[in-house]
Amino acid sequence: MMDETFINSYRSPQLSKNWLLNLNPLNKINIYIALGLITLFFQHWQVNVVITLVFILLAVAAGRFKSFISPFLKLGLVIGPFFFIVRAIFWPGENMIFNYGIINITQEGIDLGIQYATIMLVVCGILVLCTVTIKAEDLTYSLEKIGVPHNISFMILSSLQLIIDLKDKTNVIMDSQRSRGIETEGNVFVRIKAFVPVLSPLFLGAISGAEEKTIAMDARAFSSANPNTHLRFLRPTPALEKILVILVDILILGLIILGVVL
Amino acid sequence: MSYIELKNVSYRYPLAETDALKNINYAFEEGKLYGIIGENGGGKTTFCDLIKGLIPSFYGGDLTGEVFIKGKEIREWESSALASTIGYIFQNPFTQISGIKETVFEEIALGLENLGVEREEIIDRVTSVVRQLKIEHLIKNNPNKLSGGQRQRVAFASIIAMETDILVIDEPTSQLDPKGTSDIFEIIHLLKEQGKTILLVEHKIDLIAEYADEVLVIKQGELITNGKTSDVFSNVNLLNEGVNIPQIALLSNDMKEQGKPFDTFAITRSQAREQILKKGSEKICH
Amino acid sequence: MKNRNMGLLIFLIPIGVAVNFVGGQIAVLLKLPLFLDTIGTFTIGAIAGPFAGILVGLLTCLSISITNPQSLFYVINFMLMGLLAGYLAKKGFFTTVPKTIGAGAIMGLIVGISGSLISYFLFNGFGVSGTGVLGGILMGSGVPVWASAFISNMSVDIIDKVPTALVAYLIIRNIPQKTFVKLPNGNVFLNAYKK
Repeated sequence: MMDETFINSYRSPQLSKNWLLNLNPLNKINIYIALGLITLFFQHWQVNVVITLVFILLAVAAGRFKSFISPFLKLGLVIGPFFFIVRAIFWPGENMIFNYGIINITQEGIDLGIQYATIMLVVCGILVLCTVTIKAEDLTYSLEKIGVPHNISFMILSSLQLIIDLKDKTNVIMDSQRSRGIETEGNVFVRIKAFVPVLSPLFLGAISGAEEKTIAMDARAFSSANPNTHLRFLRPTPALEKILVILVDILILGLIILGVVL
Repeated sequence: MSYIELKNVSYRYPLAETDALKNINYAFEEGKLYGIIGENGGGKTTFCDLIKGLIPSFYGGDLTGEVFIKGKEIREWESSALASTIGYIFQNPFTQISGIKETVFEEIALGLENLGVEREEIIDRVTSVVRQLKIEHLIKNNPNKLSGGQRQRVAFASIIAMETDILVIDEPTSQLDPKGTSDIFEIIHLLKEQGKTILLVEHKIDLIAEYADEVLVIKQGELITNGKTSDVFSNVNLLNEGVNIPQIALLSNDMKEQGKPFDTFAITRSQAREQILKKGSEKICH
Repeated sequence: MKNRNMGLLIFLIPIGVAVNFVGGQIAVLLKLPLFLDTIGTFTIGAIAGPFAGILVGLLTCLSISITNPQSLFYVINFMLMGLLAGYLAKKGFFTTVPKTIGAGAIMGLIVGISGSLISYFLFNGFGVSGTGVLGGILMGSGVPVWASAFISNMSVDIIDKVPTALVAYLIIRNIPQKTFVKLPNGNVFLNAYKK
């Protein structure tokens, strides 16, 4: 049975019911980064926390809260405290709070730690938000639309797929090496020796596969000099969206100027 | 004018000490299916790569002589023009999937996108090839999660969608199970009926006997025999050249040696059955 | 018909990226005290030249940032490794074990310096992984911030990059000649292995 609805879906732009998800991927990145830049000019940890909250709200607005919050917390709860702790206990400062051996807690260290930990929350927010609100193929489509060659698209998308494929193969090879009696446990030298036999077949197999893939893709007119077309496409950016993005940028620029002046 | 013509073609891979192809002369005609057989490492794949235009542009090395595709020398073809003239399918189902598309439908469309075909035409051509190959149930699937046999069918679909007149098919079933093999030969049969010119390398000799119009035997880089399929397989001396011969052809030969030859030399099961039924009825009549 | 081997580079670069990932993953699975997460950059850079190496580094950094956001700030380092691997391989490093160790040490030194500068100017001298703790301990013992940044980053980079280069060397030795023929730096290796 041919699924006509599915085939027809390629006749209109890829759209979801959510206004935020429907923004052009490059515009999304523009907004996220512009928000993130605010942190650099204010230097108040409270500002960083507010921006982090804005990212969480954006995830809610995109209907992606569930997929956002778990990786965000996993990253944020590791990176944030790490950035705080190393600064809090090691940073040399004048106002000593506690000192024992190499541990040297100062007010300056704590302030610096809070500042950096919250900046990193913002960075994690930007990255996780990008991954949950932008599809890789939509990103490469919009990059191609602004003139990035489709070879670059291929490299990006292919890298993402190959990471998945090679990770799967790694697990298979690790298991088979173990069952062939190659030690993957034991002391450090034993384990170092196990590294190459696992990676090498994977890597060499992929390289010879690359030659075949070159031939296969050549047969699919990969090196064609004609400008390529797109079966799957996004809507042209609506005027309202362009205005919105420019307004956001101007507003943030204004905030930054305000912050610098103050 | 021949469709594909090779004149005094020799080729040596870079760093190699002997020629992989030696002084080959042959002219392929439009609309026929050519079976290419011979020992492994004898030059069959090199021969395919040559006609696909990968020699010397991809492999390097020394090519002498001339190869004409539709009257134009291979070195003068643009790569994309060649891609829309000659389709190429080979044995590994995994490396023929691009790895950058989320659905089988988009995967099949990739070659057409690269050629710059308009969207509506892409949809029409992909839909039609999906119907022909009976893979309607796969179009929404992720091509990176298909079985080998399914991938190979998608690889065929992707090439067929490009509507090339010539297809070079190099051991398409060597990594497939019997079901996968019969699916692929159903497709090859379809292509033949559509009048495509097909060069097929295949070890399953009974399938060559059944489908090929002409057979070329390549050994150590030389074209040692060629001709109509039944003529080539009626020469059992080929066994000494390391070439498999269909069991039915051997049976026909045995009958001849026993002094009771078939009226026509049978190389496939259906031909043999026809001959045996005919002989049987003659016997009853006398 | 000229740019077919360009095609091969386009397919090798994603492999470099994916190998960086799985190299790092295997190192973790085997509980090795090394990162070994730049083997793809080293190898592809070495065989396919500086430009391919830079692209492997850039794409690796972008994809690794999704799970490791602080990497984003070290993007220059990721690209520098690809550039250096390509350049040094062209000069004949990576053809023998001693030269490979040399290449690893040079690369460790240079990315160590650039990493320290990044850590110093962006992160108060603290590296963003275990190096941060090491740097911190040095600071706590009274070593100046700039020196702590350099010592912690550079020692870790040199310890990691020499074995990384050696693994890349082992991989390169097993790449078939017919593949080298099609690669930008291929001749260097073909000539070296002929002797």
